[in-house]
Amino acid sequence: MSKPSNTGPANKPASTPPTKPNAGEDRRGFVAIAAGAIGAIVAAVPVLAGLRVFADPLTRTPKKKSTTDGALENGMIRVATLDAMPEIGKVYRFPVVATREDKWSRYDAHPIGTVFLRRTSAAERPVAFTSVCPHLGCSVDIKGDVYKCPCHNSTWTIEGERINPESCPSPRDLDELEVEVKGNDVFIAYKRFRGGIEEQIEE
Amino acid sequence: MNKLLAWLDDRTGYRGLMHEALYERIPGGARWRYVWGSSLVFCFFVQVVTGIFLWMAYSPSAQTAWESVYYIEFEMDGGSLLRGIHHYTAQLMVVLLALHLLQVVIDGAYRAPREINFWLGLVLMKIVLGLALTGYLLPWDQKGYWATQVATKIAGIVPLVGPWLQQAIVGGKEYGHHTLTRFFALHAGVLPGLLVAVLALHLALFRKHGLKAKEPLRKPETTFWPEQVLRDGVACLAVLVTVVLLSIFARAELGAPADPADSYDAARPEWYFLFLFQFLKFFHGETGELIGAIVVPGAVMLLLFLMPFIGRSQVGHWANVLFIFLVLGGAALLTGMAIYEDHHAAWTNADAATEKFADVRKMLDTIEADLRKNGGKSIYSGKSEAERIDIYAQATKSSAEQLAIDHYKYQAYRKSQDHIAANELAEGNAQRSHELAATGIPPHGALKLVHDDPKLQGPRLFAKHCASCHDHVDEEGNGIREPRPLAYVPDAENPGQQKLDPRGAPNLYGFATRKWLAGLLDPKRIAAAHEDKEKWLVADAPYFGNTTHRDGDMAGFVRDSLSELDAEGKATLEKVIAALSAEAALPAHKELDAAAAKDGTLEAGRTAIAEHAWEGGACIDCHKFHDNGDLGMAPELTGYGSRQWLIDFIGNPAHARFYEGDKNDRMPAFAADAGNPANNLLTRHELELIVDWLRGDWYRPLGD
Repeated sequence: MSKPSNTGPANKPASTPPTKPNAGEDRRGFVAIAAGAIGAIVAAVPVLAGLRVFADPLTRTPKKKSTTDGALENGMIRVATLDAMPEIGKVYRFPVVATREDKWSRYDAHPIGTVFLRRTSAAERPVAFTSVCPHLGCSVDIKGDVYKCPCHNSTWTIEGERINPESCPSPRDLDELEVEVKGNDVFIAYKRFRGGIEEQIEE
Repeated sequence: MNKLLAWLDDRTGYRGLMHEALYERIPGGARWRYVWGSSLVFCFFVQVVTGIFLWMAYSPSAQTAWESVYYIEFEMDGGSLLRGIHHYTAQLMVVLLALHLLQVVIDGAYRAPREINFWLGLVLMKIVLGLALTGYLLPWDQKGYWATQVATKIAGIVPLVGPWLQQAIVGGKEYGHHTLTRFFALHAGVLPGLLVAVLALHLALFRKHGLKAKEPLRKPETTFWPEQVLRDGVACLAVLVTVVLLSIFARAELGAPADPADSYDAARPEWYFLFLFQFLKFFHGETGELIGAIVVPGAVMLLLFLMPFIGRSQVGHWANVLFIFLVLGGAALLTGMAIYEDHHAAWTNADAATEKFADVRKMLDTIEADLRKNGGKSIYSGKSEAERIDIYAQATKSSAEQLAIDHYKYQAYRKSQDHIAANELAEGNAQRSHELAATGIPPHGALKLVHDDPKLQGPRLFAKHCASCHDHVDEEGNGIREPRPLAYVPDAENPGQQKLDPRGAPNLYGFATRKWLAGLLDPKRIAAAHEDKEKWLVADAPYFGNTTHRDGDMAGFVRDSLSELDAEGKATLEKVIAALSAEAALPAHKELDAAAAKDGTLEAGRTAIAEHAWEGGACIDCHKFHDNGDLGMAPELTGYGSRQWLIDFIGNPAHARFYEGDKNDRMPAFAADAGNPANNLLTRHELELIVDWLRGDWYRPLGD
């Protein structure tokens, strides 16, 4: 073994390596290189094996979206009914309940987020915003006609636009989610986006 | 660069340290026999590195330990290799420890001035064994759970402090969260910390005293770097290649999740503790256990610690060498014995074994039959096993001695067979638990998946609740068939006499499949029964078994009306079978049923059930089928064999929908009291598991 085993104080170490004739020097050089190389390999393999597993989250391809009860084939999740938001123009808040997977665990019917839904007219499908702040991921709230983030005081209009883009800490407007209506049921495509950047990129 | 290194050296003196570290003197030249210590240090290095990475994915609690290890092993990229390296290096470390100890003793390296370092080495050995023991439990699978129970129970028999010690280690009276948190803290914190400290002292003293060179010196003195380092490196490489190959070609196991409610017959300690396991078999009773588990191993350790004193003289040294060979050889022998006892049935040719034990089996059968037939009057009654063998030998004029030997061997053979079967069962359960876990584990943990799985629980529940009457065996005779002694009851017609009361209800394998129904409606097979009075067993009565239905109206109808069908009648019967089986909606018949629905077979079959006039009458003369017929005479055919039908039937077979009142022959109502489930023999959940299992309705991974 190379380093770890030999860090104790030595017993009268030879003051200099014994001198050898030239042929011996060559052999000694070869042995040194071989010893060093083997030492490096045996030390590296367990470290690399560990790093490979450590890097698992970076190389993991997400599994096929797990099916949530009542979800559409494209993965859109039922979050509300039209009956539950009778007033046109009013913002309603609904939990997003879906199957959540966390490593080995599967949680059925688990709250995974919150959406704001607002109907602009009786005919059109509702507009949906995720409650996750585009800035740094705090939970946005609705106060009257204004969306407000409690963390850094970003504010948005009821249409989801930043009220004061110049001074708003949020780099973008609220993230809108795709909505589909089937009969009375309202489905959304729930997504998470990267925070703190101007462009909307799905996580 | 040189300037920078010079600066560094000036501030740290690293060159001196490196020099000291690398230019240790090796009198007599580098040799292969010095590699054991270094390779052990390398193993420890591998364990620390792989252990820390495993730590990043391991979660010690009763609901997450198995689950997180499952995730490492089967989901994480490279997880299996990492776990394999950790698993196998631990085992190799035990082997290397033994070799290191052996070499130190043979070379007399424990003698003055190296006594203390020898003791430190023994302490290191104890720590490594402690690491092995604590690590075995961490995956929280059946194997580790049950094997470690034994180890902690042994701690419990230590005089005076035993129970206290056991509770302190286990973290309570029973295994649970704190057993894992404690074992994990010991395994990843306390023991490695101690090991580092003791190892530092061990190495420091090793450097202080220098290497104990093997006499005679073969070559001129050399230094540790690079000649010995190369040899050490090659040894480490060999260790590494071995563990990597093992990890790839013999993946580290992960059994089914630990289940305190499920006896685990395959429980064995890891192979390097098998010698202790085997050793304990020789000791019985409380005192015996104490001697075998604590006194003798303690004495061996004490003798090891005393070696430096014993070995002062040359004779003492030879005694030490002899002792270490005895200990290691004895351990090897015991390990071999343990493995042989468990596995020798697998190495024996089955035909040869049958032949070899033919006499013994004949003897056992004869004794058993005699005891059953004659009860207290049997010549074997109230006799010990040895006496029975003697009596039998006298009666048959054979050698009692030979029979006794063969009997002993036969018992050992059977035990080995049982162990092999238990291993296979454990392996099957492990695989099934992995299949289930791949679907995602509920927050309660993987044990919930196991407990909710009809494929795993069905056979257990069937064996417990149903198998005293019913069989569940396939065409080859594999499955659940309990020996069923014939019972005698007072004969009402002849007072004072006893009459045979045969047991045995339908074989439920493939119940409601087309094949099963075809047999039921086969005049030759419906009333088949088999009673072997010699062996006092009842088996192979596939349809009405030995119930009263064997002589009932249905059997009569099948025998009389279905025995001479013309081609058209046969075709109609086939449609009836298809339609009736489709009522069950069995998963195995999904495609068959769909095809039959498409080509009109089902429709025709249903019409035939409702309308066709067989010689002895129509089905609906006795049975209710959808809108036709009435309840009360014979079982309802609507939804026959379906999940709900079976749940209702087993719940209360005497209900008007099935065998009303005294038409029901001896089958208990397992869940008749819906309002008060506590009164029922089976819970709703158990009932569902049995039914789903009977119907073959369980989760199958894609492509299975």
